[in-house]
Amino acid sequence: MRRPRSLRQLFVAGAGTIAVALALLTVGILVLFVSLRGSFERDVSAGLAEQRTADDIVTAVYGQLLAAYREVKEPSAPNRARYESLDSVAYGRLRQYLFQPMATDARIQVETIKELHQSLEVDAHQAFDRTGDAAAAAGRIVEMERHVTALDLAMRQFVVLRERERTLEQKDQLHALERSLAAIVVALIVLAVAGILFVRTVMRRVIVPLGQVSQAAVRLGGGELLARIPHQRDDELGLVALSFNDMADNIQAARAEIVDQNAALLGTLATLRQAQQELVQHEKLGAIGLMLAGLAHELNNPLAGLRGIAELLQQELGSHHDPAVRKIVRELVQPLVTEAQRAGSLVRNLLDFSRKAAAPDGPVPLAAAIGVAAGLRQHAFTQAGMTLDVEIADSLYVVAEAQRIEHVAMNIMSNALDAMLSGGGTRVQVRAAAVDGDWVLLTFDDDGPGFREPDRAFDPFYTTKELGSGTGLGLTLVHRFVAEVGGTVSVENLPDRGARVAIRLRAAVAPLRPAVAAHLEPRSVAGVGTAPGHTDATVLVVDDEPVLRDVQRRVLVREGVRVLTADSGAAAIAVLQRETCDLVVTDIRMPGEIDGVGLYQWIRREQPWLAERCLFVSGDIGEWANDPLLGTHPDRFLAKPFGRDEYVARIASLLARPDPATVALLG
Amino acid sequence: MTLRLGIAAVVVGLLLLTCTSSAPIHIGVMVSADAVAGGQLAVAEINATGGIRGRALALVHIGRLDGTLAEPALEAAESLTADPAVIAVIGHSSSSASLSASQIYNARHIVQVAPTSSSPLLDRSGPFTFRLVASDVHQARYIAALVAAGGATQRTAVVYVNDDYGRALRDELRSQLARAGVPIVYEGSYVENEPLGDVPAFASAIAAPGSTLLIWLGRSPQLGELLPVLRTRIPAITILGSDGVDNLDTELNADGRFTGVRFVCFVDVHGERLKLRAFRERFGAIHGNQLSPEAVLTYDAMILLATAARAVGPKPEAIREYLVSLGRTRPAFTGASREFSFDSTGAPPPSYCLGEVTPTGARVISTVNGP
Repeated sequence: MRRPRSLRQLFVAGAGTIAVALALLTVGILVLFVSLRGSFERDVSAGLAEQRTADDIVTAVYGQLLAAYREVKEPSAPNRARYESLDSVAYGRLRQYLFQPMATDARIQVETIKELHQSLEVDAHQAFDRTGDAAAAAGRIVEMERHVTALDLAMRQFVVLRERERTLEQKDQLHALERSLAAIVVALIVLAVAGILFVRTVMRRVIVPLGQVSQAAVRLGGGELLARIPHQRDDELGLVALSFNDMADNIQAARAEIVDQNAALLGTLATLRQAQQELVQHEKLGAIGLMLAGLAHELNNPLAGLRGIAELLQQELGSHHDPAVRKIVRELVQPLVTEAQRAGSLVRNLLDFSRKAAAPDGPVPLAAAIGVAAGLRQHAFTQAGMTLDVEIADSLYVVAEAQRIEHVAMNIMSNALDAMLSGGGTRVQVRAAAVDGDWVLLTFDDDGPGFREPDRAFDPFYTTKELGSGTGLGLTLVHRFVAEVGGTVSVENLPDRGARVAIRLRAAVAPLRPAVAAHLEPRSVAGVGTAPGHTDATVLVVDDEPVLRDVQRRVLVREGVRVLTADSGAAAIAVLQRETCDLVVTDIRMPGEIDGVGLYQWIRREQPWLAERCLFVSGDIGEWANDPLLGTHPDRFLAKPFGRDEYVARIASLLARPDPATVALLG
Repeated sequence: MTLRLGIAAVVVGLLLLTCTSSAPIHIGVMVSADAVAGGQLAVAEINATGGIRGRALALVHIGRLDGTLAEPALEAAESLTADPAVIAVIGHSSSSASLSASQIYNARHIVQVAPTSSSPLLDRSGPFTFRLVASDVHQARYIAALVAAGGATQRTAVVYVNDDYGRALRDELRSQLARAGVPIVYEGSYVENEPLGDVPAFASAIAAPGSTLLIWLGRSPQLGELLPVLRTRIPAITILGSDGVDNLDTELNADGRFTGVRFVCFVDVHGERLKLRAFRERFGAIHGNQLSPEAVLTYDAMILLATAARAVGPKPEAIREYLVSLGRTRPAFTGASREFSFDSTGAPPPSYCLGEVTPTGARVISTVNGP
């Protein structure tokens, strides 16, 4: 393929063509000048011809004079004919001047010559008329001679005039031509200089900048993103250069952006892969959770029965008079109770661990939630001779799930109690305050031994408790629950002694109507019998598990309570239709058409005064937490396996409430 | 910007047009003094009827340079063409003067209308030269025909004024008479503006060959000088003059010396054409009976040029084209003397009359139109 000629080559070719054209033009002008000079020379020839004409006229006139003279001397036809012939020649030559362009002076001279010739002819005629009078004829001839002489002189003057006229005209023409030539030469010089300047200017302002643009374009096209066109003049090419540089900047920026986006995409991909892995893990955990939920439900009932029986044995035989029995209680029954508790705690933790994160309930009254946990752990602290000091303003609300806040508090309180039991310490202080406007800082300070390895406090299955005493999931769950609601948790050892667990939760605006959880006030763990006016209370225990039903019956009977039992919801309804009960303790999941929920609905409908005194027990309390009917009374749930003390405390707490029947009667 | 410049140019142009339009238009008149009166009467009539496109018409006459010789005619032509207001010249009185001046007028594109110049040489003068009488080629034929009609027994003598008029007429007449078989028994000449000199000798020379007919190809003053002597030599001689004889001398015949002289004329000043009668009456009211053929033709020339200028504007080129178009794309111009149109040489169709001088003045005895 033929390579196109570059602009520079074309420009040089064009300039060369122009130069050649100028040269040819110059040659042409010179040729024209030479031609005009030839024309002048021809004018000179014309002058010579005019001179010859003048000579012819003068010669003819002199010939006429001679012929006239002969005619006068010797008249003859040939003489007269010759005279006439010369007359025609002279007059014919004179007429040639009539229509030639000439100056007025020369034309007047022609008229003078013509008139002299006319006078000469008249003289000739008069001489011819007087051939008989020789003297008269001679006189006319003399007159003729005078006219001929005058004509000759006039003719010479005419020639001089014409010569001068032609000379002046030629000079004028020559001067005009010289001026024209000079002007042309000057024009050519100016044109040549202008051409050189033009070429130079075009080279500097067009060709070179275009080359720079071309080079920069090639470099940029080759991937050299830093290629730029040097600064140029403020003209079209300068604008092109600026546009090109802007384009290169844009390309460079776009490329950097693409690189960044690629990095971001790679990061996103990694995150996606991680999320995918987490999702897979969640799916696994979800499956495990399902399995654990079923397992927990199945385990909690026997564990509850086992724990209840063990605690009954411990209570029945702990004060036995036989030391051997008390030794058996101390060595066999007490561990049985402890292990049952531990098994229950493990099942609960596993259940919590497997539960999916639920959306925060919204505004949670922090004082109430912490109060529930404190109420549950207060008895243990008291029994250990320690103090659980809770002081939280009612105005503080946090964005969280109430039960999880309770669980978190329970975990931290339990950990602190366990740590102080083993490492010394007497007091746990729980405080909360609004910080940074949108946050609430909840702190648990104890004066125990502190964390051995604070950095590992949240590691799963990390525990410093004795083997078999902890699951290692407590603080891990705390961290998870707090993180799921957008908060943070940290642990540290206090300067002198003790440890601090600090939780930052997002502050919430207080709802117009206090949450149901507000009913969760700290409860006493005193026995049922200590509840005023209820030592003769009648409690209906409904559970499909005979062992659990019997254990509960035994515990309550020992508390001086009259206990009725039913193994199903339908049986319970039959009992309630027949007997007056002060409180109903019912399992939620039971076989048959009426489970615990159905029983509660019947109670609310048929014996509404008893609805406030229903305590629900279940192997999976979390399963019912979001129930629209039961979820409004979280303080009336008790998760299996429960301990005797907790169970009795809940019964006592409910029985301590005003008699619903009385309330109903009083209106 | 361009619009402003255009408006300014238009305003300046209008101002210039206004300035120039108020200036009178000049037409030079270089004829004999008695003929200038015809031109003045025409100018008066033209200006009385609105002038030329609103501009007055002025007659320019250089009296000291009028006449029949070439040198003063050239000087007059130089002077007239130097005046930018001059668009045309009527003149001159002789063929020699008209012929020499025509080169200046043509070189400077000024229209020349020669009222009485008849030399054939004027045919070659140039495109700006027109004349109101036909070439002497036709007059020579007319004269030859008149001579031939008189019979071959006539002994014909020819005297001519030796200038471009008389010489050309002589040459043509020679040819025509030879063709008609009429011999010329004598041929003499004289020079314009010079006395005949030895008049008796001149008369004797004419009489010597037994001349019975004298054809006078010259003007009246020299004829008037010769006639008394000639008639003593040849009492019965017949005198036939060319158009140069037709002037106030023969028209008035004050001393009766021209009685019996016949002559060729272009204009019958006593004719009955309506325009001629009207002009004659107006002219007579001012100048009495001093009406010459040249005055009538000068009057016609002035009216003709004014009519052209009114029609196409006062530009010489336009006027020239207008004159050329007469009888072609425009109708012939009707003057006091005759109808005018022009051939390629600027000459009208031939039209002659034969006049005879009576004791009380000249009268036309026959008229011939056409070659």
